[in-house]
Amino acid sequence: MSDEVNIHVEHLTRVEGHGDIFFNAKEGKVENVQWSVVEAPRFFEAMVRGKSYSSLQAITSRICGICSIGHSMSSLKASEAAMGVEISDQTKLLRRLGVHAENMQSHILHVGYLVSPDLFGVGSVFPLATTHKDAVLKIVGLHRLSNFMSDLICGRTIHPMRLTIGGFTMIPTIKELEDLKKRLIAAVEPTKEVAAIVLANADKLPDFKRETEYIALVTGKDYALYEGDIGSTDTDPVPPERYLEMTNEYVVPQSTAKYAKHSRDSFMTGALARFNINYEFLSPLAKEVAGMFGLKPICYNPYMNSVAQIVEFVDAIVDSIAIIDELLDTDMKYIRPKFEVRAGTGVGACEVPRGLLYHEYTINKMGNCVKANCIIPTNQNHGNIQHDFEAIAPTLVGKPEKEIELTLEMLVRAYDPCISCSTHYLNVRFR
Amino acid sequence: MSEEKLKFAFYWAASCGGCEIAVLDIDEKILDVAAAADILFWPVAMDFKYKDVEDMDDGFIDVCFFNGAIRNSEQKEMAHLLRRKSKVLVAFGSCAVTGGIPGLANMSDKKGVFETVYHENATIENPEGIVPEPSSQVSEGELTIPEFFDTVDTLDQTVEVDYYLPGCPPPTDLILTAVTAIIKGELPPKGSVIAPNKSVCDECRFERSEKSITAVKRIYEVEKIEDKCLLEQGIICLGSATRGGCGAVCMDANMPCTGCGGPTPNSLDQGGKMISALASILGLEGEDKMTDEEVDALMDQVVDPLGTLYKYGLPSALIKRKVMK
Repeated sequence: MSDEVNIHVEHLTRVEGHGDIFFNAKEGKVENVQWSVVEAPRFFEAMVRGKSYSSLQAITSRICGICSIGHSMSSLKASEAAMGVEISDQTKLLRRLGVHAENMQSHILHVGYLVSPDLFGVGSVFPLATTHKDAVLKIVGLHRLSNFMSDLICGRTIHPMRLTIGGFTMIPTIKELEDLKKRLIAAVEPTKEVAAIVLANADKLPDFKRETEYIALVTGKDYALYEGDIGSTDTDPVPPERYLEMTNEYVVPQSTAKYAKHSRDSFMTGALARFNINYEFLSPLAKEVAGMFGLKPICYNPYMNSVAQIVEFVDAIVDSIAIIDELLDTDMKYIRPKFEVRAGTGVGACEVPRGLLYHEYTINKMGNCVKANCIIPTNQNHGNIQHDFEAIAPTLVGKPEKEIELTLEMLVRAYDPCISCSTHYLNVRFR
Repeated sequence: MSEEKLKFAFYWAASCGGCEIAVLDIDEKILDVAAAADILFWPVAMDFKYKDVEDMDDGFIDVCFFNGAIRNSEQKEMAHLLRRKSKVLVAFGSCAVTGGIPGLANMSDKKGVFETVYHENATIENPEGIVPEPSSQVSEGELTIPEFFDTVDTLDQTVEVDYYLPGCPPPTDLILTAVTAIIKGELPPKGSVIAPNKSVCDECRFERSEKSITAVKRIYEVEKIEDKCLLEQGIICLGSATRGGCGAVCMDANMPCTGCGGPTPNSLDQGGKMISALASILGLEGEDKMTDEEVDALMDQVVDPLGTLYKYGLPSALIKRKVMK
């Protein structure tokens, strides 16, 4: 093929933020393939300087409206670590429910609203409302359940208010938790049906493999989300305080994006990484759903991240029911958090929908934040997306432009990049 | 009858994405919206390309919901482009209406922000002092990135805005009210804020007793939240200076209002109004005999006043930004 192929997808849509794709091939060879992000930099690390410990969660929640619960969790954990604040077992259980609620909300949104149009070959979820009304209503129903759960535990789905340092400002009643449990049980069947619908169209997910490193929290006893050490498919786990060894961010002149790497040139974090590392701790039901898709660890196909999200959705339902039972077995009681303001530095690491999220704060004796660092999953994945691009691009040369474009777009979407989170990106365009 | 359908568009600038998700949170009703209006583009949920917008006739879009503040040249360009292409432009959410949390960056400037993020940050190894440049040379050619501004602006400081829908994120009920009014053609006069003409206090479950306070506390320092006005318990609550429409959801969670609804109707400056509210409620016996230093010490109890009183509205406030030398 001697034609020159130039593809420039400006503002890739159906990812949560702005991104561009560049692809050009000449005489059958890929000359350049590039994933770049146009999202406005917002520089929260600079903005929280001098802010009181009491407003750090509310401000950093606004890094991302899609995973604001996850940012709140990492933020609170960092503040608590910095000031030496202990939390109760009850608080931990409730926070784990909050993490599940957000993962469910984000995963069903991603798979149902953002990825499924690719599988059905349409531009958005709206045409599906006519052609696959039943499926869309099931997806909407699961989305509503997830939001209901977030509202109940965290006060609100977007920018939660009940989560505070040391615990909660308010907790659900026993009756509310019992009601939630009933709704979760009722959601199992529709979830399996949604999985079956995705499965029926899963042949649209390209069969592509590239070996890479996966990083996720590990506890050695459960499917770690709220807490754990930082595990890897390449190396031994390290405690969260040593997160800098795992992220190794660096700056390049032509972009404001900070890149991350660990034992190789890049790594992946997120649902597929968690699945690959913590598979053994998934519930039997979640393993059954993974089996439907033939998904087994270690899976090196990034397109399968969306399937791992479905598996996690199922597991979140099962684990949430177990957590509610545990809460109902104990004598649930509201205790208002109490602590002393103390100077210190602390790290909060939490698994959020798109992967491992770190916040680190240094708080002075007045209770003001003097230094902050936030490392966002999408930023950690950026390098891996680029390397996947470089590996898949040669296999695409000679194919119709539309197909190349869709394959690359679907790859980016599979990572579910929340570009609004990635506070350090600017646009890069070849002209 | 698809030619009679309205044409909607959604766009985001400097924001967190929560506004886009808030629209999805109207759940099944989004399908009713899709039945009454063609959604031309909506970056989080639907495919569109930049060029598609450029190719549209001026005024082609009936209503554009624009969220996010304006902080770089690309966003400014998009704001102008979408203003031209839209009959009605709605500033959607706190960032577009009053500047939002990104507007807190007006306490610094480009240089200050870049120094923190690219030099001083714990994770950064940057001995050569590299910072992003609008243009740089690489082997493939010239790379350009949008120019980063010193000051974050609101949408109506950039282009003319027809309606305002505040909130971080805007409450689902208000989104439905706005969309229904548009579909029925029952919009209020241009320039209106699509939210009730009352304060958050008017919607709050707590009782007010016009009692004065002697100390300001952070929410964490209060041992027990009593069932009464949070401000009268010494907690800074911006409810009286903030427009309602949210149903006072934060107070329902035992948290004070932090002001995301923007100023109350007929009030010029949200923080200014709150300062006056604080001045009238903060009272000590014999305060008229206190020295200036003692009064200062009393007022110093308000931690980070700029960040507290203008958390979502620094760019739209009279003070707008910190003066940088």
